Amino acid sequence: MRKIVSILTLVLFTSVAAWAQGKISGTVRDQNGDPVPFATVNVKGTKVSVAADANANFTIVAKSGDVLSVSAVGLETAQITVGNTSVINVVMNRTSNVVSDVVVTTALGVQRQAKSLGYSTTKIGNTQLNEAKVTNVASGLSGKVSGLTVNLVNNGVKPDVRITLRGIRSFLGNNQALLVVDGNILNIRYLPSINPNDIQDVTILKGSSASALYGSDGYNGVIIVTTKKGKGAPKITVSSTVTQEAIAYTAKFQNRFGTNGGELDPAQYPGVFYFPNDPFKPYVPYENQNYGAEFNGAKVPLGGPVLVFNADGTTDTLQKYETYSAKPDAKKNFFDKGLTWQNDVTYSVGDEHSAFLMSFQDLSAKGTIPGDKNHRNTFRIDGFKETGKFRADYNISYAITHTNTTPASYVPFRWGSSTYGGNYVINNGQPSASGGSYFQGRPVYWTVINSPAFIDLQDFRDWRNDPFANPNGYFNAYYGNPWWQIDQTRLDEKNNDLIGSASLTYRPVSWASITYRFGMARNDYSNNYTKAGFDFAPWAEADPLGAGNIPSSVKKLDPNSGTGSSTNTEITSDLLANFHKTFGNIDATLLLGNQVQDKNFQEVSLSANALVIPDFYNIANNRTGEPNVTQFMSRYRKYSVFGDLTLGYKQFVYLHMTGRNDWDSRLSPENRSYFYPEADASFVFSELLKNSGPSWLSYGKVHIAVSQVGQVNINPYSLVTAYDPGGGFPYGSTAGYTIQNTFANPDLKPEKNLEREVGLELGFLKDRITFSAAAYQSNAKDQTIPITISWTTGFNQANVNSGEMQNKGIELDLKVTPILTKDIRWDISGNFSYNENKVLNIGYGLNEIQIPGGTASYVEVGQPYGIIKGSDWQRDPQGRIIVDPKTGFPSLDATPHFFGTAYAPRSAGINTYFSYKGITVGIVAEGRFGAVINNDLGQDLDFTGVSWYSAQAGRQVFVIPNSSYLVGDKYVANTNITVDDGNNGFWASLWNQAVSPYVNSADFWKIREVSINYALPTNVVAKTRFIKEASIGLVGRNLGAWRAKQNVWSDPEYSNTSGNGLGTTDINQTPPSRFYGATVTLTF
Amino acid sequence: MKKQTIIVISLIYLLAGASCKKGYLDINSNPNNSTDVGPELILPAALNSTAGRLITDRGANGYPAISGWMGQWAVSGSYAVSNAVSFYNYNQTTDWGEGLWDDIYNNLEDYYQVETQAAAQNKPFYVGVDKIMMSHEFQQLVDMFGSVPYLDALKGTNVIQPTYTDAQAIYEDLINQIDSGINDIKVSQGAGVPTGKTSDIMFDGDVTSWVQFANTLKLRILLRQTQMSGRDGYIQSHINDIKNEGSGFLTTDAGASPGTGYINSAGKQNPFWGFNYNTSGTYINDFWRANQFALDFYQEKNDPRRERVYGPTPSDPNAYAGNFLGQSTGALVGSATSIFGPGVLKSVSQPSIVISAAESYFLQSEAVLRGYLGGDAEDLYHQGITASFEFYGVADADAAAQTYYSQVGKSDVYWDNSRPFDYKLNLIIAQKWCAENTVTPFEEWCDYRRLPNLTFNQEIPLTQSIYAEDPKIVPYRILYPTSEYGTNGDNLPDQADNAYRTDKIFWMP
Repeated sequence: MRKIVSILTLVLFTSVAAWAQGKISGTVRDQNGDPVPFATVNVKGTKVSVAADANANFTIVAKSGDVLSVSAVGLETAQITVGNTSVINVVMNRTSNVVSDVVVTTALGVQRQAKSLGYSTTKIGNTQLNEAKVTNVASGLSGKVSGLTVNLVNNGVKPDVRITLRGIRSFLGNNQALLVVDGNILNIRYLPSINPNDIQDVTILKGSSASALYGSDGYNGVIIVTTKKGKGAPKITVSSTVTQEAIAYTAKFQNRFGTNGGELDPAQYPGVFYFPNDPFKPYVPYENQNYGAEFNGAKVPLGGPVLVFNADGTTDTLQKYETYSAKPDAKKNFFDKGLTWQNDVTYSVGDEHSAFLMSFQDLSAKGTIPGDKNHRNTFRIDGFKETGKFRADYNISYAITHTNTTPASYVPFRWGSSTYGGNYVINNGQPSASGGSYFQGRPVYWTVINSPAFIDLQDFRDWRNDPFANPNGYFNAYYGNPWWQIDQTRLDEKNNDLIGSASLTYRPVSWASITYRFGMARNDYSNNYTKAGFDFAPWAEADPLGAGNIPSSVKKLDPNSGTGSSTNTEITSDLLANFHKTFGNIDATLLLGNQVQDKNFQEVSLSANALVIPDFYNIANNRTGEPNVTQFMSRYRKYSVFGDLTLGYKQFVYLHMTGRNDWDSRLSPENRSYFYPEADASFVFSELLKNSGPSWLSYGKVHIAVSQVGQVNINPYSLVTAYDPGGGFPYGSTAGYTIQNTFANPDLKPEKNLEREVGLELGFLKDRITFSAAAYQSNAKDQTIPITISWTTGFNQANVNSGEMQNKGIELDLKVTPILTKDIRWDISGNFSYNENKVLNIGYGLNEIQIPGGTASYVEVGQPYGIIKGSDWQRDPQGRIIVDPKTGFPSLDATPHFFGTAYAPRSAGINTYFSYKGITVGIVAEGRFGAVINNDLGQDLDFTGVSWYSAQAGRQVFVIPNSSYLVGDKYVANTNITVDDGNNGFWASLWNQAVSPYVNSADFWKIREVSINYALPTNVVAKTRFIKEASIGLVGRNLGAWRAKQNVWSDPEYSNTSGNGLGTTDINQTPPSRFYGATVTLTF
Repeated sequence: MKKQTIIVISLIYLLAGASCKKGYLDINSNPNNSTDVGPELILPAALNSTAGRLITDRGANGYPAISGWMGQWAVSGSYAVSNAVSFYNYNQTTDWGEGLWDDIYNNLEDYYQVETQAAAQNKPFYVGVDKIMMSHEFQQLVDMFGSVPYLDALKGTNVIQPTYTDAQAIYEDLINQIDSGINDIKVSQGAGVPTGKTSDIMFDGDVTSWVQFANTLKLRILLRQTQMSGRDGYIQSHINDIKNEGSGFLTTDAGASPGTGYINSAGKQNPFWGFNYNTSGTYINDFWRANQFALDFYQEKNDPRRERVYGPTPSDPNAYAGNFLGQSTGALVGSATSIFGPGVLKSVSQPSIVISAAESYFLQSEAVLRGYLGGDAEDLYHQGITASFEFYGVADADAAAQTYYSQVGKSDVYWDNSRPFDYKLNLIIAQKWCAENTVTPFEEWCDYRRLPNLTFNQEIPLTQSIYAEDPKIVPYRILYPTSEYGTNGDNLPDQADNAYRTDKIFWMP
């Protein structure tokens, strides 16, 4: 860095002052003071013409008395007579909010006019992004941009999010968009640490043509975040938002039957309780399954006898009783009302030569699961200073996030959102964890949703003092008390994110500039997992009801703990040279640059299987056996050079080409150099028709683009087969190693995506109606896949480049402003995306690959990506379920059945925005269609019998709908053969063995956001003297959801992974929530 | 304009000049896992893997299932006998033996790495040990599956679909490999031989022990072929080689004990110990229990090993009880059936046995009985029993063994020189079964298949499972695994769905 600065200084001294007599310079701004980039400045009556740059600065040769004519689309042409001054600042009047003058931040921070772009981009401003006071930027983008898919795969205080653009390109590699903040290339995992209030706008580069200049990082499209800059007179903005979160809906439960798991004989099971005349199975006071007697309001014993020790040494045996009737809201009421506070302070000041902005946000969230908390503080400083030929830009943000949760069975024990299962042990060299109950390691949600319908879990909160809530005396013989789990198993995570960049621009001449930019992002993550032990009492271990209860199976639960920490450092260095010159009618812009990236991740973790001293969590000084330790490092570098040339002819034809060459350290020296070409063209035909065309056509453009981009989808160090310590080694001083099971392939190459795109953009009636359409086709080849090889080779896997996938799609955006008066403005916009994905081939004779992380998710030749497959019933040629004519029972078909893709091919968003004087109302709705969801949860709920689904036939025998049976060699429709058992024998041990009953349409419409804001009239506010602006608002998120009727289980958007294997929900996703809030903003 | 041009040129120069330093991208050497590990460090893990596999590997789809077939282990009555593909039904699918196949080839790859690296580095001791151990592994494969990939196996993607080599051809080559291995070890004498537990966790670098191990393994391979017609000459000539070599056979148990020994920490326990106890010392194995046949057999012979191999039932410290394989009516639940006893669960650090001294004596006794080897078959037989009593930790082992084998007329125990060949062979096989119970169950299965008409083998009860196909046949072999169909289907020999009860290994009568 220092070296380059000194070189820049040297370059400075070799230059001369650029202004000569007759040279006029200035800035073009609109009536609001916002810069108007790329305006055309012409000396009237001559051919002398220049275009302002991206920052709206221009320099032109003119003499006193000349008239400068300044024009730009959407603004009235301004005419200024040159006087004696050499600096002329031009003010233009904006006539309408037109498409064509929008300035877009494209790859590497290059500002370009929207009309010159030959590819699709979308820009979302802060108001639109943060309308509903989101806590995570990703949520604010959902439903607003065609081609962009935001999956909120879970709920919670720090939910997992997945962002993809134009579908999926890689079978098994990264498919998430790249994040760029103020030119700084960041891992998408930094997104949750960004304060949405700090964002000026977000530009989405949808396709690889738009992002080709980023090389392999931009393979999946780019989300460019531009943060706010200081502007105008000094002002302080304070805002405060409070949001309440409540469970929106849960799975559908039955409220008719109590507990029984098949126990019938009171001689064998002393607790079995028969009600006279009840036709169902008897009530069992400790069961986890709910296939028992019908609720009747009787007082029944709950659980077994509980021994209580008195202070005087005597003991009492107590028995709890419960009313045997449903408490329909009990499960939902287990959850708290979540509460989120966002308090923001921003100080901002700025003019043309310098700006400064400082912001602070305190975000404090309490989740719906009792005890879950998330706290985030973000500080940010941003500014620039321009002096003569130099301009320095800087920004730095620091975020501290502290999360404390009850861990689920699958929890992120690493920075970001990767999920791993198991105990806090080392799984494939990575620390992973399970919290879970004191038996079976179940998440809290499992125990809550599977609690019997006549139980209110709020009664069991005080497990320390209440003998019936204590793990010794808890009624449920097989599922633990969730309150013990909440109190005694904790996962504490801390993230420190430091993101910053600084750049220096030197403009020696009006047509050239050089910029050096240094960007860095650092994450420090640490976690601490603790699980208390429990010694079950001998009387509980004696299992008085002969249930095989938890105390008798577990006896002693060892305390357990683990801790891990990681640092991630990403450094990007850019050196960019910009040239902009006009040759007659041709306007040429050339960017040359080089980029160096260094990404370094290090992680250590430490855990013990069992601790000795209770409530003391230090693995160094308290454990049995050897500790588990891991150390993991991952570092790679990339070096790139690139060029970007734009040629514009008379402001209506643009040709744009980029080329980039990457050298990547993860590949072998022979393969590490890769070239990424891109070319696009745009034709603004409305410019040509300006004087002859129809007056209602205000804007018209067609564009075409083609690009080929690659992505390296291998981890560092994947080219040489390595050794792991052999099982159990080292033993004392003896080490032992075993070769890894994947045969390393030194010849791996990047995956390659060839994308072609055409588009049309139209504006009518002074852009009161705008419409854009894009169609694309991309073919991603040379997928990096592991192929399974015969173990007789000594290995079971080898990585190869093979396979191809195609995406074809269209994106439509329509925006209409039906009302636009001085006081009223009403915008309504809709977007629609259709993406058709097809796996063309895999190669090596493979027909399918299971997607890791997914439960039932596959890549299969000829199918769209990410299909859900699973078991189904044996069916006749007409698709009817074949039942046994004797038992009425169906049989499982062992061959996995194809159900559909987990990736919705069609999605639509509707946004509307209405303002009347100071009142604004915004609504965002989104829908996705054509995918299926595998509700793994349903199988579990049918096992325990709490589900409405398992009670839909009233626990009576019934005829399986749409079934048939074999008579001779013909299948006959089944109208009378009922299942032998309509109770647990069917629902809990037969019907829930198939996947097919639980897979259904994942279609949904959701109201993502509703906001109402009222800005107090300035004259009212002014009376306070110190307040300049004030507004109050109400916000709501996820207020309504319409699901497919058959989906009685969960949110169809959820998934048990944020990886590529989407489409299955299980017990680890808490139910979806609604958010309501209020916000106040004051500017001083 | 001229100056501007100069500036621009210098800018471009700057850009070009900021190019990549040499070596800047050469940071791809693995800091997490070594890619360069010598034979000295691979061998201990490979030996440990082999030794640790032979009792517990793959549970109900592996060696424990074989203990069940052989009437030594049974399933707790807490687990219902079902119609599923399970070992007690004697049926298989191609998934059944996949784990065993994977584990052995995975283990073999490590030996292959040792051998190729040691050969390149001129470390003949390691080359020799490796040839012997690879022979041990390939014999297991052949005895389970028959013909398997051999000559071009283990070469990674260099031979991505290895061809299958005929089972008998492999067997014959194994003898040559062991001879060559013995030669390599002898060549190495004094040079490059590890000392202590640093690398050779079986014999601490003791060359003689390795040669004795090799000779015993050869004898095991050769005696497997006794029932093949016209094979006598072949067997005799190779046994002559052993005689000429002169180092003799194992006199102590060949077992692996890594480093300072297994310890009581997760993943570091003796595998059989860890199969039964967690690190807190709680007995966790609630599936595998004693087989009533074994308990009865030991008891009927007044054999003190009954209370060494098996322990009392969890609910009654004086009761010994078991189930029969596949038993559903009257099966006793876990708390009422015998767990494993102190003779096989001696300590968390007990070595894992590859070939026991007792087996060595019984093999020799059989070879003498068959006239292949000179010596006293009866004496070797008694030494085998004594070694077994010692292994299981019977109190006063020598005297107890003598008392035991001196029970005049006791069937399956008492050596009576006046009795015919078959009677004596039966004694040897029965006592081998007693001695290898919960040590190397695989050998009993091989003896069972080799000598199916032997009285003792007829005594081993067939499964009681009502789901077993008639006639009940203890599996002859294990089906080639499913994975081979997908990854090496072109080379895979044809096999019928029920080949496990129709196709015999080449040495079976």
